[in-house]
Order: sequence, then structure tokens, then C-alpha cells
Amino acid sequence: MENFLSQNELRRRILDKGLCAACGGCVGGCPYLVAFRGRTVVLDACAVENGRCYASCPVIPMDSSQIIGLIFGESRPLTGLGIYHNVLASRAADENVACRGQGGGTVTALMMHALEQGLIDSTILTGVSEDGAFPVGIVAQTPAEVASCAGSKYMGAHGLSALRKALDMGKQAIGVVGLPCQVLSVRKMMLADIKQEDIRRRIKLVVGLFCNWAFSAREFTAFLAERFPETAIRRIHIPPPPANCLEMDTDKGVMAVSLDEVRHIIQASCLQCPDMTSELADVSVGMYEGRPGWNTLVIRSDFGRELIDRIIQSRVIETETFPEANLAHLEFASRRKKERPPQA
Amino acid sequence: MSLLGLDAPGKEVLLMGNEAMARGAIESGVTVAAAYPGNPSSEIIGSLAGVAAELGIHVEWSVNEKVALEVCAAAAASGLNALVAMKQNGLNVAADFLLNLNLTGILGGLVLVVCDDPSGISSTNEQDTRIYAKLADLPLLEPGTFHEAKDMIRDAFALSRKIGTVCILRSVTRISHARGNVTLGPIPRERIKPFFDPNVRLMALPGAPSHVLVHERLKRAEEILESAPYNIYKGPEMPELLMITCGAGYLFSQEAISILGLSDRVGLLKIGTTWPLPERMILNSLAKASRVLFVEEVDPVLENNVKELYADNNSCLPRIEFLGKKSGHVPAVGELNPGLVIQVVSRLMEAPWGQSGDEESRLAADTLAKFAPPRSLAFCAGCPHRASFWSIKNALALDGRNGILFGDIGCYSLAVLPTGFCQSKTLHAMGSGPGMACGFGVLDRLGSEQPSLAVCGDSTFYHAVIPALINGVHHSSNFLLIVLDNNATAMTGFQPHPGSTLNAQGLPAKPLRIEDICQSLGVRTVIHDPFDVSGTSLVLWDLLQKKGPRVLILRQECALVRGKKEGRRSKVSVNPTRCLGEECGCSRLCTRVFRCPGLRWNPTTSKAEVDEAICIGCGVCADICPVGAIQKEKQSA
Repeated sequence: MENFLSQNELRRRILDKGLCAACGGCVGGCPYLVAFRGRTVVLDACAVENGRCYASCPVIPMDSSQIIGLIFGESRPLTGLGIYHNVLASRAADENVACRGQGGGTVTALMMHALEQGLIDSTILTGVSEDGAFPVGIVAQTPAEVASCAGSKYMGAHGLSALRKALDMGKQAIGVVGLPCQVLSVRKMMLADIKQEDIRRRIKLVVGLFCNWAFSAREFTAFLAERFPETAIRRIHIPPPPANCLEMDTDKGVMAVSLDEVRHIIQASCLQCPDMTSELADVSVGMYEGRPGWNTLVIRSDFGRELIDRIIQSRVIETETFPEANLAHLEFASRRKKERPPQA
Repeated sequence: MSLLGLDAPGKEVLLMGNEAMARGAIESGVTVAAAYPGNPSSEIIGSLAGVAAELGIHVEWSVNEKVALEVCAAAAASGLNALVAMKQNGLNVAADFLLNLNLTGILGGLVLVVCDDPSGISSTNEQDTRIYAKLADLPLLEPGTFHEAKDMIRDAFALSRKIGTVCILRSVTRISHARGNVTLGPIPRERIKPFFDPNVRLMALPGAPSHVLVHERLKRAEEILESAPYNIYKGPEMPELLMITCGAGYLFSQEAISILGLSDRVGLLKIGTTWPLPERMILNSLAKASRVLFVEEVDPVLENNVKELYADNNSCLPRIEFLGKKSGHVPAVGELNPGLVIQVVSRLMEAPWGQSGDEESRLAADTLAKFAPPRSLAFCAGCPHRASFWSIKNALALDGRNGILFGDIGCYSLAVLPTGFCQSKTLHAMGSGPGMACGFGVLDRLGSEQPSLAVCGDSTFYHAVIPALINGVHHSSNFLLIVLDNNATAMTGFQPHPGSTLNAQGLPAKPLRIEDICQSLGVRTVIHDPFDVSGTSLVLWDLLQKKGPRVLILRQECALVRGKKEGRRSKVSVNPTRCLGEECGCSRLCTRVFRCPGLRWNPTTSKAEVDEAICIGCGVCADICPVGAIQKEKQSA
């Protein structure tokens, strides 16, 4: 079977069907597959028979038990939220960080602290291109660089292409912040390690984000440019149902767009994706519905638990218990995403 | 003094067929010569250009074949002898004028040389010019030897003057590009002053009476040509097989008869005046024949015309079996060669000849295979076109809307093949790519979402692209014209064109810059260096997002021209420790996909290597290598 795990197969099963999640796992260090304005583009046919591209694609289904074994060691009970130790409400202790983040700035605070403490030497984040026009993957090496990437992008942006950069730079303790698809792609890379780069050891920390779906970056940026010409959009926010809209903080004030206008540019892969809470991350972070300025923090791996304990002690983040009712609601939403039949 | 201008009557020299024709023009006192370059015709005007100054001849590379014919027609209308040369495709360009010029006739002497390219070795088609002679009712001569090529030009001028119309001379590759002995004649030195008699009117109207005159001129040509020395019969009185041939077929047929030892059994009728035919002579030969084999290149023109003549006279002729392209004895397409004609005759005459399976043939084939590795048609090492098509390929992929690139005629025609990453989707005639792109560019109005692109070379731009561009501007067509400007008519031997600073004779000429022409039409025009491959892709992508007609000039001198002038630009080498070879992350990108002949794959080490004998040091591969394993160091001059 290995002979068929090629670019051609990736093309046949994913790219040609428009099922690419634009995670960026396949495009780093490859002259044949490149990310360009939100799309994964095949420039030429590759003849490698067992390539990193196929091995790391999160949309190609696989038995996750191997990954679960890799991250969680012995099997623990699987819930509607995947495997986890506990769920907390959290926010960055530093108000400056908290107000820049999407919810409570937990991820920003966590990654800044991990870099400061030398737990990691770099982290892969999704930032914004130099001209401000497009989300891009970034290898952040300083807390300031982490801070500049705060905020959700709501777009498939090939952020993982920066992981290849970090590996080629020789980074030995890499952190990754990613969407569920990106978390799965990283885990697949760690398992396969096709070029024997000791990836399992070198990727220290994987922080997953909650995600219901993302827009196609090429179409969403074009939509925004046409709909809001000459407007600087600072932050995008999707309020919980029944709002049914996108809210945008812009230099011209808060603007809103009905979700019905943009639903058609949601990536097809997102509608098939069963993972809302990045179940294979060390820790997962998302919005705390109904409580602005706070995050939901899901602590999953043992390493994740140690880390969170340390940063709570260091007063980098504040936590509170996460109410049972909210947990039940989160688990319901997560299960609903799994149970939703794959779209044609 | 060059060989071509050598004033030594009676001296025998070795000349290429095209040079022999040029010498024939000189011996005819030609004073104006024009052409658009096209193989296999290019050396006729090219070699005349070399002696133009010393002999007082105006020689020019015209913008296209139609203008070349018009330039020469004006000279002939002014009483001069003028020679125009082109390849078979070029005749199509000139045909509109030719098929009206035949109606008016011409004063002076006007000879049109058309060199056909059987098998289309350097052409998109293998069209037969002789059909045009019949279509236009113009006389056509076909040389069968090199000396004849020279003398026929002289006689074609005489005929043109006598009957008052254009005379066509058809050559083929193996006459134009092969060499043979030619005996020189005298060079006339007297020059007449050009004068267009204002009392003369050259106009085709009214059409039908003009047509009558055309027939009369052809009738007169037939009478004159009946005694021409170019129609020869060699062989027995009553041949078992009569071979009727012309052009290069004459050389091949003589060889076949000689090698098979059939000179007492097979007769050879060689026709030099293909249209109109020497009817009496042919009928005489047919009267003694029972089997006739036609040996001619491209179409069965001689075959059909002789059969027509036979039908007209069948009451007084024997029953004859006609063999040739129609009967399947001679291949219906492609170039002939001695081996092929030998095989045909050997089979017909049951005259044994060494079979292809014998020891010697095998040895020859093995030796050939050893020294001539199989290679597909490819751009030269360091050719800027490879870099341009690389960027076009990438830009179209990045764009992702299935953009269509319309191809055109020039070295870059090869972009339909892997050397140009199969990017061009069409290939027809000079200027047809931009014309089709212009048409495809209006289909967005009908719902098409595919971007429209065309490529053309610099010489082609002047030749036939400007009307398409004007059409695109006028109709607001959405297309991107990419001009691959290598500052040469590279495919045919680096002839100058209207963008050049020197003319055919090497004298200063006013260059018309492509960007000035485009901008004067109000077309958004961008110039970029194709050797900046990643930059070019982005410029292309950006232009693809725009509307209306756009031009991108990718300017980088032809690698051969530059190589001759400057030698190797950089020393390029592969660092074997960095080269990933077949591994993930490379998969032999440089030798498998980019495929510059300057790079080769070493299967023993599984690494790429630079072939220093071929590499010209453009350094594009260094930018393409995904891991920076290819390095370039600037070569000090």
C-alpha cells in the first residue's frame, strides 16, 4: 500500500475534490505543493512514493489509536470532548494580554510564558502577512512575536507551513498552536517522521484551538475587500447562536455581516471534520460562551496538565471552575459535530 | 571576396542549395531581395545580405512574407529583377497578394522561391507549394541538383520577364540544405535605374478578363518551358519501370537505380518544370511505359498532373499501371530518402538489396545508439524560454482557474512539449496564438471563467501579432499577451527584425520597441526578466487578475547569442551533500521536471550534476532547487 501514499493520491482523494483544509502540513519544504493565497496548489507532479504530504494530511482518515497512545499513554475514557483531565475557565492574568486575545488571551499568555521559561525555543502560530492582507504561518521566537499573532483568523491559512521552517532552522523544542486539523496533522507528522528528523522529541507542546469551521482564505479576504473597501479590520468575532452573524472591529467601528452571506465560502473539509475541540492537543482552548473575556481550557495530556499547573502557579493565567452545565453544553456541541453526516 | 560574389566564370565551387539559388540571383543581376526568415529558406537572403554592399543589391529581412513579396513586386514593377524567398508556411501569408498579383502580372523580373519542408522538420506542416502554382496559374520550376538550383533562378528571371508574371521556384530541404558542385557563371555589372511607368496600371479588375490573361501567360510559359534543359530522361528505350521524379527525389532515384544496378531496366524521367508540365516529353515517355512509379516529396502533385495528362490522351497511350502515393507504394507523407526509394524500387523490380536485419545494419544501429542517446526536442541549455514557461506554469497553477495559453511559432513552439512543461495548448500559424487569445478573451461575456493568455516571440510580434493586439484593444478583450523577447529571430538563425538596431546588411536601422508599440495602443505593458523566476510568476499572477488586454514582455537575450558574445556567465555546480535527489522534498525537480540539458542525473550517486560542457551559467536552476544545493558563482570575465 505504501507505494500509493503519494502526491498523486493526495490529489485524487483530497485536493481535486476540494477537501483540503488548508492546514499547511503538506506545503512546507516541498517544491510541488505550495500554499498560495489560501489554496494548496500543485505546481508539478511529484514522483516520491511515500511522501510527507500524504502522511501528514489530516483529512485522510486514520485510526487515531496510535496517536492517542503517543500522546496520552495508556488509554483513558473517551468522552464527547475526547480525552481530558479536566476543563477550566481561564484568562490571561495580564490585562494587556487578555484584551488582545480572542477570548481571555489564554493561548497568548501560555505561549509567551513557555518561550520566556525556555520550555520551548519557538512556536508555530498564525499571524498576518507583512502587507496585512493575508494570514500566514509564523515561527515566533520571542514573546513579542507571540503577542502580535493574537486573535482568531477564521480562515484556513496554511499556518503549519511554518513548522517545516522551524524544523529546518534546527529548532529543538517547538510549540504549535493550531486548529483541530493542524493538531491532527502535527500528530501524524510525529508518528510518521518520514525523514527521520526526531520530530516526536522536537515538538514539545501542541495547543489546539476550538473550531467549528473556517472560511476559504482566498474567498473570504476577497469578500471582505469587496464588502468593506478601505477598511482596516482589527478583529473578527462570531457571537454564539442565535446571533447568526460575523462581527468585525474596524477602524470605522463595529460592523456585522450575516453568516448566510458567507456560509458558502466555508471550507468543504470543515463541514466533514468531526473534531471541534482539538482532541489530540496537549491542551485545547476556546471561547467561553456567554462569558466575554474568558476562555474554556481543556487539559488533556499529562504534559499539558503539568504545564498548566506551572503557569497557574506562576500567575500567568487565572482559572476558575468550569460549570457543569456549560461542560454539558460544550460536550453536546462537540458530539453534534461528530454526528453530523459528512456533506457531499 | 566571398564565394558567392566570386567573379570567376567557369569555376566549380561547392555550394549549399540555398547559396546556389542566391548565386543564381546574382548572375541574373538581381538588385532587390527580400524575405522573412523561415527554414529551410533562410540562407538564400541571408547569404545575399553578405554580398549586398559589394554588388549594390538592396537586401532586407521584411516584417513578414506578404510585405517581402510586395517589396519585391514594387521593384519588379519598376523594371528591376527582384527575388523573394520564404518557407511553405510563409507562402500562406503572402498568398493573398500573390493571388492578385498573378492577375495583374508584373513588369521586370520577379522570382518567388519557396522552400518546402517535407516531414515538417522545422515547421508545423509539410504543405506542398506546387498546389499554389496550379491555384494561381503561375509557372513553377523544381531544381533536382545544386547546379540546377542556380541556373533555374537565372531562367526563372528570364521567363518572368518574357511572360510578364511571377515565376515560382520550389525547393525542398534536401536541395536547400545539402551541398553540391556548382559551376559559376558571369556576374552582370550593369544596373538599370528603377522606373515605374506612370502609364502602367497593375490592377486585377475586372477579374474575369484578367483571369483570361493569366491563362494566356501560362500557355506561353508552357511553350517556352517545353524545351527547357531541366526535363531529362535517362534509361532504356523501353523501360520495365518508368520512374517520374522531381526535386530531391531525383537524387534519391538515381542512387536507387545505381545501387540496385537497374540502369538497363528502369527509366528515369526527371521533371524540372513541374507546372506547366512538359506535356510532349511526358507523353513520349508514357507511350513506351507499362509501369510508372512517382517519386516526389509531400503531395502527389506530379502524380496527379501526369495522370490527368494520361486521361486526356489515353486513346493513343498503352495501358499503364501507376504506382506512387495513391497506390501506397510510396509513403503518402514525410520526407523521402535514398534508403526508402531503394526499398520501393527493390521490391517492385524484385532486385535484392541488403535487408535491415543483416550484421552490418545491426552494427550500424548499435553504434548509432551508443553515440546518439535518445533525446526529445528541447530548449537549449540556459534558454530564457524555459524559465519563462516555468513561471507561466507556476502562475497558471497559482491562479487555479484553468487559464489557457495559446502558442505561436518560434523556438517557443516547443512549449507544447515537456521542455516547455506542455504549457501551450495550441500551435498553428504566426500570430494565431494572440489572435485566438483575443477571441478567447471575450468569452467571459458568455460565462467563461478561464483566463486567456498567449505567447509570441519578438520577431513574431512584428510579423503578425500587432493586428490581434489592436483587435483586442478595440473589443476590450481580456487577455494577456506574453512577448518572449530574446532579441533575435532565434529559430531561423538570429536574423534581425524591426526591433533590431542593425538591418540585414549590418547597417544601422531604426528599432521599433515592442513596449512603445503596445503603449501607443493604450495597453498595460510590463517588462520583466524571466530569469527572476519567482518574481515573474507573481508578476504574471498579478496581471492575470487584471482586465482588458495586457502585455508582459519577458526580456532576456537568446542563450546562443549571449553565449557567443560573453561566454559562460556563472559557474554553476551541485553540492552533493545538500542535493536531496529522489527524496521527499525534491523528487529530482531539476532533472525530472525543469530538465535543462545543462543538468544531468547521476544514477550511481543519486545526485544531480552540472554538465559543464553544456551549461551556459544562466543560474536559473540555482533558484529552482528547493534546498539551495545548486550554487552559482559569477564568472570573472
